[in-house]
Amino acid sequence: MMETININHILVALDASAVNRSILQAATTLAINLNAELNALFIEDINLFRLAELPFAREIVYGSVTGRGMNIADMERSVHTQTTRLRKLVETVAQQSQKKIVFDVQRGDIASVICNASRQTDLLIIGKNTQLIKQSLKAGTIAKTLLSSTHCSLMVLQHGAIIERPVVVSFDGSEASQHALSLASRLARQDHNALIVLFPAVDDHRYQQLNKQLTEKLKDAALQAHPVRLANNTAVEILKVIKQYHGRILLLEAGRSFLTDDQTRELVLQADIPIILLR
Amino acid sequence: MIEPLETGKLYTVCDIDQFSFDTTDQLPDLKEIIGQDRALQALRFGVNIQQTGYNLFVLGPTGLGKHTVVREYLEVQSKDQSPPADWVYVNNFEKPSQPIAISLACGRAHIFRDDMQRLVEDLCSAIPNAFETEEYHLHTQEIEDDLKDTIEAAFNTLATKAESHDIRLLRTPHGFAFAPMKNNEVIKPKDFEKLTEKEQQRIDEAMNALEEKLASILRMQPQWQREARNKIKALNQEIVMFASGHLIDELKNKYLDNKIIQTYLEAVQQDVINNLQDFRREEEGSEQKGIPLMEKQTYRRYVVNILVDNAKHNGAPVVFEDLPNYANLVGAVEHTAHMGALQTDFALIKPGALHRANGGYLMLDAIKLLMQPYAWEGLKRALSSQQIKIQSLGQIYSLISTVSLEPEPIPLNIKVVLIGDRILYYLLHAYDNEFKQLFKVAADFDDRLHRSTENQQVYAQMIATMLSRHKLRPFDRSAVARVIEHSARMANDSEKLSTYVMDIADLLREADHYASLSNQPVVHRDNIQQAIDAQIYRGDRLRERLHEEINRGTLMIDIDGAKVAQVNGLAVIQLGDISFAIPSRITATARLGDGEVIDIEREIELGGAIHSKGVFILSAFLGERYAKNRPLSLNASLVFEQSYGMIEGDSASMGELCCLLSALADIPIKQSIAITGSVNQRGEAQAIGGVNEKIEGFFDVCNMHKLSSHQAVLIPAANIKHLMLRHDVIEACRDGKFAVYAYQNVDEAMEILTAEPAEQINAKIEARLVELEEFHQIYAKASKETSDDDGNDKH
Repeated sequence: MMETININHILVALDASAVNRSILQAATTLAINLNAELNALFIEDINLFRLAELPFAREIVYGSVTGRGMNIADMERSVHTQTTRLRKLVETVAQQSQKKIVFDVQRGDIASVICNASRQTDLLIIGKNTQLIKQSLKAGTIAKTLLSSTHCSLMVLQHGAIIERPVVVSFDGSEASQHALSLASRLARQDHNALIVLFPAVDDHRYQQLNKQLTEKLKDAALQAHPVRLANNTAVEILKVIKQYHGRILLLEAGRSFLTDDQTRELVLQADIPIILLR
Repeated sequence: MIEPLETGKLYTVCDIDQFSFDTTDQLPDLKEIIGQDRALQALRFGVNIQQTGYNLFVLGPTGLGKHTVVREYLEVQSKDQSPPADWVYVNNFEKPSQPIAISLACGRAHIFRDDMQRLVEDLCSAIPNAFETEEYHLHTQEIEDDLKDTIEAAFNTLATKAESHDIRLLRTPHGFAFAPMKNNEVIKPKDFEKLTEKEQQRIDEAMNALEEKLASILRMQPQWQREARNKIKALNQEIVMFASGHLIDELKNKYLDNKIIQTYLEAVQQDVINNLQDFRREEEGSEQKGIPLMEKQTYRRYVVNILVDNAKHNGAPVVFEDLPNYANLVGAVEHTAHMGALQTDFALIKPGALHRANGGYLMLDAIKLLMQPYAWEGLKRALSSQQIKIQSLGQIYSLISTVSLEPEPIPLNIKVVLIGDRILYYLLHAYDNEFKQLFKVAADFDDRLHRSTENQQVYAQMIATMLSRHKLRPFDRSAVARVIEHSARMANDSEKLSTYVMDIADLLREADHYASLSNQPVVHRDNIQQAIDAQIYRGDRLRERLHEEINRGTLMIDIDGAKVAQVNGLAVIQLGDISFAIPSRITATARLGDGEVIDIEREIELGGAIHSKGVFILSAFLGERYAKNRPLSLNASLVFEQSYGMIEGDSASMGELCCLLSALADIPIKQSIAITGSVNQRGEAQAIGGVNEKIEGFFDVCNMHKLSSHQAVLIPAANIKHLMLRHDVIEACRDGKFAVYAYQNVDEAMEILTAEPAEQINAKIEARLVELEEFHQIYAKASKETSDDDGNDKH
């Protein structure tokens, strides 16, 4: 019997960047597939308001390399404009997909607010190359926090990525990986498609065990599972397999994974397909 | 006394015994048109001389077969010549408004067009494939990653530097800002105020420095992006060169002998590189679906527009342009309507007749050419410059200032043959200097030839050729002879034959038709006569009406009795194909005067110049003969009775003179005789035109009543050779019911008209003139005395 995981509630975090539409659409598709509730959250960065209160605060505007003064009133107005635009976007996507989306706006520290919000949801979706998570994570404290501190499963989406098959899932026999396998089989089954299962770099004996375990887990799933044993437990190796099998979405257990945190972060950075880190 | 002409002189029969054939199908076809040796020699000369300006003007009246002769000759000549080169227009990628003309060996234009189409098809396949390779994606990814790395490295460095000062780089709704941090939060204003002045200054300076660095990064960003774009562009060029190079090289090798194509293909390659996005595989919009590849807007610029394709010609082209307007001659640039605007490109260049005939022969109707606005100027410009330059009239005359195409001119090597009436040739020659330089050869078609026995034989052969060409029944010898006789009548000369082959062909067709009605396998003389009679009858309505009015007495013509100062003249009327004559009463008055002969027709401006000349001549004759040494104390007037239209020609001048002499001599003229002929100052009769029609005209009027055996027509002796009279007239003459007299001078004419000797007539005239002179002197003396008396009274 396979351990199941329920994704009943999805939260998609939006920011002010232009990639929001594709992220919101992907989140909506997934919510429809999993029959989950969908919430969209926009966080007004408290730091911006604090900065605007400082008498010497200046900003350098796009298209002009000279700085200009900031004040709280202008900041309020600009952020309000952003919020209004996002609200319209959410309404449009909801109407087009006929999926109810609850839009919420909060003001505060971005990482903290998202972390708090992740307590009330099963899956948090964030976009890659947005303000929330920069490709170079060295600079993004928010990203670091999100990858390590969210209380729910996390999905990172590349701009323009859509939810497609075949599904790739890592499986090391752990409870989290069983959850991942469970969700992956649900996603794959909806399209009667193949499921690529990644086994960590283990010896033959362990591999046999995992294979047997997998067969057991999927015996009722009526899926065509393709088990692949990794040559080594690195992000590069996983990316290679994804490319080889034309994988379109990756599910990975987080935390106690066979990947280190750095390798997980590297994988998130380099992958150009959606990745779901399951907790 | 002068005797009537013998019937043998009234009609020159074509002797059928001279023909050795029974029917025309035994005769071989004639190789060349007859009677046009001069024109044919000119044609041969003009066609064969290879010098500029030796174009031809074929002149002569309509109906001589000029078109057929010229076309047949040119077609024979052209077969021995090699077909000229093909011409195409291709896009000029540097200057699209100036399309490039390319000459290819005959028949290779469509091969080149197909090659270009294949090239584009191959490029459409090869280029996307080249761009879909793993290597290409890797390359572009590397370039994009480099760009991202560069930008992010710059931002990371900046952010790290900022962090070292407890400052964080934040993204604002409109850009970036630096915020001083405390405990991982932006410092609050009141906390900032608590800082020492030195600390605040440090933060301020650090933020200023960071802002400068940020500005520097933002300034550099477009340059980095440009560099990345250039790298991708260079990579794309490499890929395109790799993908297309061998395809284009293949074509270049195929057209190694054509330098223009080599250059063009290099330009194509560069254009493909510049527009490679057109070849990248993309989903076609619904608008483009179903459109052939080369007609798609994207690939249209690689189309080869075939202007001239001589592949189907065995020799040099012979082109006849039926509608020689400007565009049809020199070509045109057409336009298409797109979204309400007119657009054009090199693919819409259309050839003219000059293009199609280039390297061969172009036949044009001169009158049609001259009637088309600017066509004549366009033709002359092309012949003078020896090149075909396609320009719209709007461009030439600066009527339109919008940018349009200026296709590269094409060298012109052509013989133009203009065909037209003589008057056109002479007018152009007189008034258009360029014409003399451009049309140096005149091929003058004659409208008649000598009726020798030899020519009659050839004429029979020509008839046979026409019959076989028009697929008509054969003619027997009698029918051929009748056609020859009719030809002489058409030429209005018993010693000549007409070369109006069109009219002869019509007669042959119509005779064949009548033969077919009676299922005859061969056409006989009767059928010819039937066709001739039918032709006359079809155009005979007005003549019948006029004869009817004469018969009813509305038009007053006397055909018997004798009257002083009244004579029957004969006027010819030409209406369409039919000409006929009717008698016209001429009357004269003579009274005391100052020697003036008044031509009433001239006074009221209904007399033409030649008619007036005739009257002046007869006036001079009067003075010369009867009043050489004394004044002519006579005032006379002459008029055509019941004439309400223009009178032209001097063929009635002898009649007018006789009428005037009758008035002076008071001798009546026989009204049963009509007279025609012109007179000179010596009283000699001169030949006139339409003699046959005139005789037949008077005969018909007399015949309507009853021929009296006294009725006759007087004609100048010089016209005897022109007689080819109708059969019924000859029969009447043979039976003594009608007569034709030929006279040499006025005395002979007066003797026949009055039946009195000329000496007696002249004596009476002189006596009358003396009498008038005496009266004149009496009146002059009386007038002078009256005048003197008046003068004395005044004193």
